[in-house]
Amino acid sequence: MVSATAPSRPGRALRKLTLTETKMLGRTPAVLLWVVGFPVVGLIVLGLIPAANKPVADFGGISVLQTWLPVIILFSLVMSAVNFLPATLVSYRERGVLRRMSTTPVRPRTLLTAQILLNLAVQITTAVLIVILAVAAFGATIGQPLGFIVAFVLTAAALSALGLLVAAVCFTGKAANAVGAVLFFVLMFFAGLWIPRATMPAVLRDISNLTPGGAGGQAILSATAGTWAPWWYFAVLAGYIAVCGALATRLFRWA
Amino acid sequence: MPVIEVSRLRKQYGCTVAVDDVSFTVEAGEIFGILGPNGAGKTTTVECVTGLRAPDRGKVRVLGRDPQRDHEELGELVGVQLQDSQLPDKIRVWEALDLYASFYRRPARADELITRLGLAGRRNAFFADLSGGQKQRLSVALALIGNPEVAVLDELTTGLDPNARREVWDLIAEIRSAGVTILLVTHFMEEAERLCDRVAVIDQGRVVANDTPGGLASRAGGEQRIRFRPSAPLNEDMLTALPEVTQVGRDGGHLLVTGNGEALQAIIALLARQGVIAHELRVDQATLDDAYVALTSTPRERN
Repeated sequence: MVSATAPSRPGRALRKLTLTETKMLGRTPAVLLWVVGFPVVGLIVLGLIPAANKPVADFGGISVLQTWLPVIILFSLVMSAVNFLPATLVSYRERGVLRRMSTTPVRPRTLLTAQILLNLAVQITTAVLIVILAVAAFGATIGQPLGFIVAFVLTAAALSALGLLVAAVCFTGKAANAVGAVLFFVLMFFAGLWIPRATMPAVLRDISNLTPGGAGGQAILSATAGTWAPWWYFAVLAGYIAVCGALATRLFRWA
Repeated sequence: MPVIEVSRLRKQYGCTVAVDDVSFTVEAGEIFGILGPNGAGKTTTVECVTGLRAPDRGKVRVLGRDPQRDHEELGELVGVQLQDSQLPDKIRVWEALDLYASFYRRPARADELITRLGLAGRRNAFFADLSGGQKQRLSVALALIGNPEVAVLDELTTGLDPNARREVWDLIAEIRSAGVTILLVTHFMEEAERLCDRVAVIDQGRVVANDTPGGLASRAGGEQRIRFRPSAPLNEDMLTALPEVTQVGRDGGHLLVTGNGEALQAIIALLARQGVIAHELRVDQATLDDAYVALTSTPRERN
């Protein structure tokens, strides 16, 4: 009846939670389609246009495809961090999953940690897939790998903090989905999904620089072109992490 | 030492007083019922016992510990089944039990529990595909996976069909015989009557009665209502003359006699002396139902 000698409980519970959440993610094809499928397919479609792979002098010698690389990565990040992460957490709160967990010896924040870890893993896997494909098949370059990693991690963290804030202030799944959808359009607009940043009026570009999509996208783009973006892009991302993270921690309710 | 001790508990949300003044104790090995209409303060009481809410006033002790201060320690010792608590749609039955088992130091064997709860045939099913009764049984299983000393079960059988309800009742009786103390919240009289050793009836945030189900029922009068068709005409005055009988009425060919607990014996003896046989004899006893209605439906003076 009793299983003796178990490893430390918090570690064991976190591992089990992450594993279970991973399995459940595998059973939710919509998430994988939006976070992994569409960005990868988008990249392939773009890559199949011969002109998109050629270096363009106007873009400082990088290809059209490479200018789209940050946008494609941001699409996946925003879907994962601002849409699916909060939707999952809010549904867990709505269904009493978090409340129920708080009657066990394991705190519900362990489930939160598992969800964040899982999302991060999916985001990194997708980004690696996109970069490998872009570099190996479509001639893109990552000129400043360290700068790329720093830019990616800060962008992912800033968007996740924003997603956690959404989960903190939305009390129904419907509200979380609506807020997530609006944020998707706003963030992706300023990241340049519909109007390339280069063709935006100066005002829009200034606003864009203050959004996590705009700042993150610029930091990632500079790294692919071989340089570090100016420090203020990183500062904007750090600001989102600090402010959204602090607000989410303060406002999050378990029931 | 009582397993659960609640004294003078009070909790209000804004200006709504959810629990006004609730006290009760639960002894080891008991099934203790908390009974009351919706909104009486049952769930808030349970939330204070399980540490989900901090009381405004009063004392709550579970196994001698404070649910607020010793939340983590009590998490190991108290299994909780919450009202309206769901699981994710895409989790399988065995995965849920396996997951929750990982939360405890000395978990029960998940496979054993699955079998005991009659879920063996559904161990690979998704939560979303379970019937109401199966979801409820899984919920009970999760409350027991940590090998708790105390199980708190809130509105266990609400929304279940009569068969599923009976299944869950058998299960609860079984759990108690394994030595687990049970705090059961319900608004079903039959459930309390079947399972509970003692019940506290809560109404408008106060305990209005605390007794055994039988004790409560006899408080409601302990009277018997006897209905029968005499085989030969019978003089009603002879019945009225019996000291055990309080009232005699007639309904077509039937006689309706009301009296105390000994009325039936006296009537049968009288009929035997008169050589009359009672056809279609029916006896109704006051039940917990009557007690409950008497205790909770009349508007009470608040002091």
